[in-house]
Amino acid sequence: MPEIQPQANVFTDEFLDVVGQEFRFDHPKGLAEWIKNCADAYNCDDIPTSKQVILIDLYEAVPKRDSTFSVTDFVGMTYAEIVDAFKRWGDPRAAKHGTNKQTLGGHGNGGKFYMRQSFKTSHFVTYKNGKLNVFGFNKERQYGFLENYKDKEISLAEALEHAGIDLDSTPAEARKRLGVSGGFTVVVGEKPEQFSGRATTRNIIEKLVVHPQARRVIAHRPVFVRIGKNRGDYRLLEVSDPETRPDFSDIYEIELPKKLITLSGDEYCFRDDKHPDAHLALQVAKDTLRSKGADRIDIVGAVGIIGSYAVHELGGNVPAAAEFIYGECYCPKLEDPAEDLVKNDRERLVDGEKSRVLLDWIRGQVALLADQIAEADAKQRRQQDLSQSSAFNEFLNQWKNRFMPTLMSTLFGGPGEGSGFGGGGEGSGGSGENEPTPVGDKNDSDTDRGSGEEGGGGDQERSGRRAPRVLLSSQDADPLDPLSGPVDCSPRHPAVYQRHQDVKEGIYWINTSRPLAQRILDDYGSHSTRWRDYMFQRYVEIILKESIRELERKQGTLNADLIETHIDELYTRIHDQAEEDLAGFLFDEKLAT
Amino acid sequence: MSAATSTRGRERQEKIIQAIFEISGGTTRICAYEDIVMQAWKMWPEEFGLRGYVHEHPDSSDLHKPLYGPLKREGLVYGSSKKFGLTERGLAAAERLHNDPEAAPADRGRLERAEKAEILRLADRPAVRIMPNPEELLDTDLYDFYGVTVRTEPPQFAGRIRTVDAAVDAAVQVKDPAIELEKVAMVVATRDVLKAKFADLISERCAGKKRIGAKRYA
Repeated sequence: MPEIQPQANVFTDEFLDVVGQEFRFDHPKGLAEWIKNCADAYNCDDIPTSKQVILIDLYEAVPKRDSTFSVTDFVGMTYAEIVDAFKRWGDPRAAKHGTNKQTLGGHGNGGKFYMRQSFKTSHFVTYKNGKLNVFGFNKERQYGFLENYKDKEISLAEALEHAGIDLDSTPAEARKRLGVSGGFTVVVGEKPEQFSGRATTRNIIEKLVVHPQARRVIAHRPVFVRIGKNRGDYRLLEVSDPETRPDFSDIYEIELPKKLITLSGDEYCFRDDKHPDAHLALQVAKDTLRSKGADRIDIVGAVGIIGSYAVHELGGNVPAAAEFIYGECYCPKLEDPAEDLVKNDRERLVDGEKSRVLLDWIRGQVALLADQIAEADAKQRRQQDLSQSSAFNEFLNQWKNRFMPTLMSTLFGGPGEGSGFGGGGEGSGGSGENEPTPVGDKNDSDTDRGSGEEGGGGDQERSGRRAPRVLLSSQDADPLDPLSGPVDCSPRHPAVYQRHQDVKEGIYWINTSRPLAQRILDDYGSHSTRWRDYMFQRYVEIILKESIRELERKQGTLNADLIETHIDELYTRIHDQAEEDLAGFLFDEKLAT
Repeated sequence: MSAATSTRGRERQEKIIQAIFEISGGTTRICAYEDIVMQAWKMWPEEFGLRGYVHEHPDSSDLHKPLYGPLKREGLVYGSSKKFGLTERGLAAAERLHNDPEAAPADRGRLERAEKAEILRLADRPAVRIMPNPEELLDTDLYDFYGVTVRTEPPQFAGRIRTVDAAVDAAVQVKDPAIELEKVAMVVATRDVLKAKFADLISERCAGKKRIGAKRYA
């Protein structure tokens, strides 16, 4: 059977217009491609990143349409490199310059398309090994060498002059690099598209430094820029990382699962023996990143960014706090030729099930972290709220201190009989008619002290049991360790909590972490009568606890009837007193702290 | 009872719980200290009588120390302010002494009623439910597991620790078919984690002397 005889593909120039649409008019994106090309040229010559000097010159002419944008490196290209690599569209070897090195450029298109689509004309002047080449696009977007500038042998000074490079105006780092390499390439775009009206070169640079494709290049290399109508001196371009939030200062690194499964049950591999490392690294900024478009997750391949998504572009809903999150997902497996997900412009991954399941997973991790941020924010808000609650708590403490001794002496007899609250006397016990006088280890008989019915009649005055001191968890410092800050309770601790060491000191904590307490604070705030009532109820609980203990001490044994009767009497007295003393506190919506 | 307890001391303690058993009618009902003194004296005048007048007058001092000390720490009696009752464990011990003083607890083959009730109570505690995440266990889980509070007196606290641990150990040993082994395993695991995590707190609570100071258990 006869077989098809393969032939070279034939394309018309219009095909380039179709593919090049992705690069049209977006100058930060196009400039990012140019500086990536510069970095790749240096990398292929094994120049360390700290010496990879790149110059960006955005000249804003009057009228604006006559402006020129240029980018310069100090490597240079030969005629052969232009013909064998640069000229070829879509050649992944273009960025590698004949080497096997990992490069930032991938498809061999970005820089060329930017030249072709975003300027009326463009060209590059390149000088290497004493020979000058000028190659570019004309007004018809056809490319080729400039007439008489193909491998033209001239001196470096003449080449610089031809390229319009004034050494005096370049940074010292650039002159030093040129001195070492003896070569350069300056790519120039003339009459930029979509650069009119309110567009400025400053805006372009502001967007360039946060552009995912440019950010890393600028961060690690000496990239200088001059912009505007007067150009002036070059200044070092710097990338500033967002200031991290102090309470989320860690880098949250999560290993990417080897496989992720879609809802339809399909499995996709993201780590294997060839690419064993893949992870997501998230960070939290102090301020929102949304306005700068920096709330992004960059997808990182073996060397550079192969995609980037704002957190709200990850699909589905993300919590509002996600706008403080940024990070990178390192996954070189995505560049595996067998299932390459890298698009031509490296803005997004190739859309499909595999990329969607990855983005879903990333969104899940972002949402988890965002929830933690939201929780921390809520906690901070509650702490602010609680600081206002302190005044309420102090008010209730004072009320309780006034009321409780009277209450206890009414319920259990006069202060002389040992209720002891608020400093009442307590008899030494055991000296009256009542047996027994404790013998043996007094630690074994501590509960028996003063239990005689006529106890309290002793002549030795003891300081009575102190009235309970009520504090707010997550707000009040630990009185037993003031330097340690507020005591935090677990949401699982009871609403009124005591640590072992608190018992002796009569300290009680109102657990503000209890779900009901949090709900009231979140929904109604600490000013609300509902919160004040919640606090009051906790005081009632504390008084009840204290009185039950006292009841047992007095009665020796407790039963349900006794306790029920006691609760009825206690609550009646507390509520009557509260109605009299605390009406404003409990009912006045506008009560000021 | 503790091995450290002398034979004579242990015998005296057994007599006291038998006296309480008699007064309470074989229940956990609380009894007045004076009634216990009188009952013990009636049953064993030589042991609990006033020296020189053993048949005329009781000597209450012989009961005070065991009641407030070892018997509480062993988890056999509860109470305060001169009123005491047998705990479930104390009741079981008294019943055993009443029926067959020679029978050892290990001879029985099944868990005692009080031990079984204890294990079933433990199996339903929040601490057991939370065990898959032991780092979340709190001091209040410890108290709840052992049926005490932050204010339980040291002897009573020690008694509850001993009672609960004895019930758990018995459940492991006896493998009573009335209780699922998985439940017992979960209770044992919870007990072990709680005791390891809160070893200092347990030790200090049982001793009841040292002040923990600023140490946090929250």
